[in-house]
Amino acid sequence: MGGSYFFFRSLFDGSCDPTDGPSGQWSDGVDTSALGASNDRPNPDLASLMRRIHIASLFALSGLALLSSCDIQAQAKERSYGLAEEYRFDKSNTIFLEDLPEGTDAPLMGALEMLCGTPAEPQLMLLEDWVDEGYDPNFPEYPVGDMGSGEISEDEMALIEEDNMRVFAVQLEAIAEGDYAGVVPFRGAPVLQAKWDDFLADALEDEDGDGAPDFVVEEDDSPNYVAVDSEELFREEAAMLLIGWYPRLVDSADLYRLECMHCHGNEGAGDGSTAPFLHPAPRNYQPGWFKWAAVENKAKPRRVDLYNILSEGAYTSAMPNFKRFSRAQLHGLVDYVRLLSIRGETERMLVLELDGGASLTPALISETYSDIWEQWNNADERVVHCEGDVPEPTAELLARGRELYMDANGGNCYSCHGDLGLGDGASAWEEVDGVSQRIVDDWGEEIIPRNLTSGIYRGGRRPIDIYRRISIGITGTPMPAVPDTLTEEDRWAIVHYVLSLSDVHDGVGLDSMRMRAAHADHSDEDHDSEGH
Amino acid sequence: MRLLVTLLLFLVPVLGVWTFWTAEENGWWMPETVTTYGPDIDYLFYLILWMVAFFFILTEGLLVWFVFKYSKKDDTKGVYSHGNHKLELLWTVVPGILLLVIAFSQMETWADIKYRGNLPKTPPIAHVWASQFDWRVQYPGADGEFGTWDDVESPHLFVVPSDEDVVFILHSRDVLHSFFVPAFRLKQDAVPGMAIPVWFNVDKAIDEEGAEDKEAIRLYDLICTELCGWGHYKMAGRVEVRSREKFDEWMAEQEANVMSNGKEDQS
Repeated sequence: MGGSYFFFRSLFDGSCDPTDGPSGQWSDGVDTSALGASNDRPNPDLASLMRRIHIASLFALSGLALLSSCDIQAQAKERSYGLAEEYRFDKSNTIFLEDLPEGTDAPLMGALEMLCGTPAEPQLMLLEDWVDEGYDPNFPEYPVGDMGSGEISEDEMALIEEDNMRVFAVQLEAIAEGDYAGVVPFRGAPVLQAKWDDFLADALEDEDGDGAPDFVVEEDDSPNYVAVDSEELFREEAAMLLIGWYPRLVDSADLYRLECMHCHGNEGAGDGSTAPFLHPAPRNYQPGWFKWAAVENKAKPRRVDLYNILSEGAYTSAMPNFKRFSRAQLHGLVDYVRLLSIRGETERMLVLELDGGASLTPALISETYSDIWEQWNNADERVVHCEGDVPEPTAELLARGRELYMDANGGNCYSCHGDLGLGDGASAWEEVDGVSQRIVDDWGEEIIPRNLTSGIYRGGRRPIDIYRRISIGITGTPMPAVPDTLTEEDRWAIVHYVLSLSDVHDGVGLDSMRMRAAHADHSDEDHDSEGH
Repeated sequence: MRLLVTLLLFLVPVLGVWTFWTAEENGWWMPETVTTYGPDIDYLFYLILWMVAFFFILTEGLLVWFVFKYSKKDDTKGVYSHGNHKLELLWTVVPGILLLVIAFSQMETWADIKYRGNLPKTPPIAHVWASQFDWRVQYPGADGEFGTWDDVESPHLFVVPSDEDVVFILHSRDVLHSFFVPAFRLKQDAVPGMAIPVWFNVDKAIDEEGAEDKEAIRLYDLICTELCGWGHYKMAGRVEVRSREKFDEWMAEQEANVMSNGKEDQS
């Protein structure tokens, strides 16, 4: 009480010292002596002047805020990639940028910019072989040989086109009606916007001077820019421009800045402004490891793995699903995430070389870059799948699964996930300096084994997803792969046992008794109505 | 000055009415309803809207008029009035009756939609899980039982058949959320720890342009309408309505996907 008394007092007389203030009793209610001390109140004229100044400053502040918000837009365009301060290769090996020989950061930045461009103009450098083969990962929708990478199959492109028709329905309708000014801007697609603006401006030119647009556009080298000479052709081509849209890296970088950067950071190092508030932390793409991929541990993910995590999200983490984006946008984000990951990994590998005394030569740069690319392009070879079909969970299989779950030489699952699957096994903690602590993952973050009774699986809940988790482990975390000695059937046994832990019919997981009661009510009613 | 203030005040009812009058052409109005009980909700909505509109215009009109008529004149003195007992009685009894009209006219609709006893006697098609900031739909899979190994999970997208009663169970994993499909006129809070059965029946095939095509796949917005955290604004999903045949097709695809052994895993 004494403390707050002096605090209130100090508000009135400006004194914080409990010993020299006028004496007053808090228990008397209002401390009159303290109030009396503040008898030099400002005169009314001054008070009103102050109020006006306050109001004026409020206006000035909001004006400033408006002005500065205009500036932010301009700054975003000039944004550049930076270098990491610290590179972690494993728990014992960390290299700091400042420990490298002086003057290495500028050439390193230059090399990375040459390989991957800038945020305003991200572009992957082509290797010499690629030019000969006609391979270009900047254009995944074109076939190899035609300066593309052929990663988007024809079937997938058909789905993208179908989706684009839905996404651009308003603009397509405006084009069909000849209301070209009514084509609303394309959000998060600056390249498409520029292309459309150019195309429209050319078409609307009136060179023969008859007062009507000519609808003449001459053929251009850039794709999707075809010669037209009538309004009908123009409409067709304009519609094709939208329907066949596949985002360029510039478009995707724009979308990334809007939706992903605040967690994953400008360079994809998982250090965005909201990252410190999140557990688990947002993925750092720079080591090139992705947790929820269907490939071997620490192998590069396939496109479809990245696409799936974007489209499905990592359930109950801060990574939401982005199904509200179009297929084209999601593919574009996959392209951009890959660029950031390749850029980050090249940076780390070069730093490792520099730390070992190598110098930054063009040969070293392109070798490092092409090694990393090779791993990405060979992702398909490292997919984990099984030969047989998914078996039914029989009682024997579940019993076998339980056995392996509890077997230290088999699955050894219980040691972290606990014998009831609650994620409370003894190995989930380790002793550091006599204090028991949570174990950490390769990103240095505290990690809690999944509570298997919750029925929540971040990497997907299909049996094959769990099979992969068990066979691969989880990249970058203490979750290991099961030993090679386990057969496919053994693994399925563990999968089914793990899935049965969240089975509502075993009394744990899915939800409360209430839900089961509601379900039972329905079945009863069904029987009743059949009875009548 | 007196006239200016009055006119400014008069702008309030004028703008208020204008907002509603032009809402539909500006795209601010609700989408056309597609469920069986949608028209009942709309009837109640318009009943209340017109009542409120009448009294809004009446009271605002009087307010503006009184401000003009009784604004201060130098030579008159204020009169002390105790009020008018009959008038008080009138404006208490009339709203009272109107409230009773509203209360009684909504009872049947409410009971139809919300009472558990009136729930259609079909087994639930799915469990819908709300969480920060995600809608996730769990279908029973091939064995027809929820919470088993072959359940189908669909993030964001709630696929349902048209022209039949659809019952689902609504849950929340963390905080309060609310399931709202404007085109269905359906709103239901999701409460942590509760399993709330909800139903609807989509019997009209009106798409965004107002055209009717029973064979078309129709998408409707599903939004969270209970402030649930920083990402509330983007907690959006979609309800996809398909004919029974196309629904079964989709479900078979999903079930096959669950049974995948990872060889042709391009989904």
